[in-house]
Amino acid sequence: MGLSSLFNTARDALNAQAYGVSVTSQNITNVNTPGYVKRTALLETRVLGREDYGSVAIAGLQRNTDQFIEGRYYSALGQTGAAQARQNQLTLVEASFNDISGSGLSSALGSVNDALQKLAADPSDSVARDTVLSNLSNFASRVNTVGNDIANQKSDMLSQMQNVVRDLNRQAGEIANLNREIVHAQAQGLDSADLRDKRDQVLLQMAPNVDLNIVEGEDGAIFVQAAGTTLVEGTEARELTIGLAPGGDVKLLAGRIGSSAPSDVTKSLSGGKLAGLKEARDVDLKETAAEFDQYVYDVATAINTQHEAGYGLDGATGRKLFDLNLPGAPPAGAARALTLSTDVAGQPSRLAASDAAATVPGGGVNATNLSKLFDLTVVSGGTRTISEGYSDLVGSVGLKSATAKRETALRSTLEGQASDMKESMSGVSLDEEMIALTKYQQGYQAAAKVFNVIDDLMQELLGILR
Amino acid sequence: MRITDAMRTNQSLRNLSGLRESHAQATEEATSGLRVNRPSDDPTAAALLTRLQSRLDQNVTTQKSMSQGRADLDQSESALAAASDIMKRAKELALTAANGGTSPDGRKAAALEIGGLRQQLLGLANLKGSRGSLFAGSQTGTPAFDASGVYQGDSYEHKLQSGPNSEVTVSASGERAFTSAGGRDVFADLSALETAMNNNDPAAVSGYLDALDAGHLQITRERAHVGVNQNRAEQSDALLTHTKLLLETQKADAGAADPAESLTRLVTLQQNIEQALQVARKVLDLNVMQLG
Repeated sequence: MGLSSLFNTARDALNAQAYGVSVTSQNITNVNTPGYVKRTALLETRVLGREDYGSVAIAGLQRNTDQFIEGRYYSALGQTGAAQARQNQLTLVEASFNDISGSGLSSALGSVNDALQKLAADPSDSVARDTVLSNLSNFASRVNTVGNDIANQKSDMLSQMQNVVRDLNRQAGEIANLNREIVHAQAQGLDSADLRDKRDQVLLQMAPNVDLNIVEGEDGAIFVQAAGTTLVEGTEARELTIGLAPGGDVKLLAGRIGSSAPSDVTKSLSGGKLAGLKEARDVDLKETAAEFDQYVYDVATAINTQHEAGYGLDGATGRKLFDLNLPGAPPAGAARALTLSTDVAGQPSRLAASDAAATVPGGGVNATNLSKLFDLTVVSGGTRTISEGYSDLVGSVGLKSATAKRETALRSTLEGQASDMKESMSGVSLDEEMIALTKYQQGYQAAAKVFNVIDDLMQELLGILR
Repeated sequence: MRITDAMRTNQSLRNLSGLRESHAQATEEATSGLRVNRPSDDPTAAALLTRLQSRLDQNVTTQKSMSQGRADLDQSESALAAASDIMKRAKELALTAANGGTSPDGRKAAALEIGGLRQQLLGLANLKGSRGSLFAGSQTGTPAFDASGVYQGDSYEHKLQSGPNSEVTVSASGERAFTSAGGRDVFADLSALETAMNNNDPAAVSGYLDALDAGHLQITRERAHVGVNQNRAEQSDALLTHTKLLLETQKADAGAADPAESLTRLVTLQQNIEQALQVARKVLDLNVMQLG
């Protein structure tokens, strides 16, 4: 072996240590980059002919990842996303039924009862009659507000889901493209770490929105499954769409490659914001809306029936207090449809306070009976009073929201654990990097020293020759 | 386990945000004085609170409308008391006029007074209360008796709710007190008495003494009736007040926060946050660069 070839060894050493510094500095630079996976510089011995003599070679990079840990993290993100989305929606509904401060529907009903008792106390008083009408109409409009709020929230959620699906489709397209580039880079023997980081970042954005399942192929491309269907296969992505089932429920459709008919994958949707919104919309809100409609229908029917039995100041009977122009079979839509009946609107004298034409105008029996309805079990199939029925609704909405809150807290904790596991595997530790930096720096300095020594030896040799 | 920088910051962040959330909740509890501020805080308690609040509202409503009814009862009672005095005075005048020693002029004067008493009685029977004519049953818009003393009302009794399952009659019956439905037509008797006195007919006058007694008795009886209802109204008012207190206590038990407890929790959480912040700072400062 010749002195001059030692220059090559020194050069290799300098290169290798510089590479170490560059990988370390990349790690340091990306210490706060989401989705960045820590790299390790891989160095190996370079054997040049004989074993007693060699140098160092750069064998490339290692990205510290684990498919299993990543999969767990994505699924944890999906579960948290679902729980969070559901909780947000239920918190909104809950506000409509929050009567603890005494400003909700219950107090509107209380005012109706108050006005009815005043009417019972003085059936001929025109102010008492006006008060009954305005309180009834106030109750109806509050009921409408809650009904409309729920309906609007449902349509908001539909557009949210459409936005999420649009994002997912775009992201699936990006992944398909990145798959192509990664496969290409690997085939060429190029470093694909940066591309993989980019792909992981896209997955990280998708994970909170849908239940992801990732499988990596031999060629470096990944299969992305969501809602039980393949979203990305190699370099092809499939489109998700949101549609409405006949009953008004949201359905998730997945396109099929080579087919124009998308398939319904709603049942397999199990995580992410999409699943959370779906459950909040088509289970929680649907139940609450149905319970509320039934309640409003029961209250309005009971009040109407009692009022129809009474007589107005003009001696006429059989008038309703509420109109319910329902779009279909009762009680669906009762909350949104409830209005003060045209029988009595603007006609306080038609309020039927008396129970017989003969006891007009001073008779207040029917007004008393109307007010007594508030003590009778007239809602929930005749098992609960008006206020009990409402408190059941409050309890049921509160329970849903409380369950969602607990679920979110639990899911966040699990996500934290999964995130720690992923971080522990792939995250950057500045301690490590600082030590590695020093290590490579010293390696570099030592290699430079080797270079100096060889240079000195060379000079010596040249001196002898001279 | 390999601990990275992000893990350290994430952990500090998670702990801090958990503490901040508890702190916000404790602050709300301490400032509102309520343990349950929204249904999800405690669904069962929230449902109970909603029920209790509506019972409280109902209680207040009933008490208010009852107080109007009680005012009518009080007014009827004093009207009937005055009517009873009038009947007593009429009896005295009749006794005097029935006496053979009374002069014709004396009887004329008595007749004049009887006419006045009858007008007074008519005024009392036509008194108006909070909902119109007190003694006219459901016909509150018209006077209970016309000028000739004929009853214009009906036998309707006005009842108000005095509690969840009870009612109290808050009207007095002009029919029972003053008309033949109660025994005697008081106004007709007084008119006849006046005529007998004007006719200077002591025998006829003395013939009305029993009728006057009966009239007095039926007014007194109605007054007793009203008295009973006054008592019942008063009792239910007391019961309503008592129930209101009970409901308020139950409400506080179900939803109110213990001030001492919430304050303690708030202070503890404040200290926890300060400690967590200090720990976070120390944790974040701790790295190899400290070695220089």
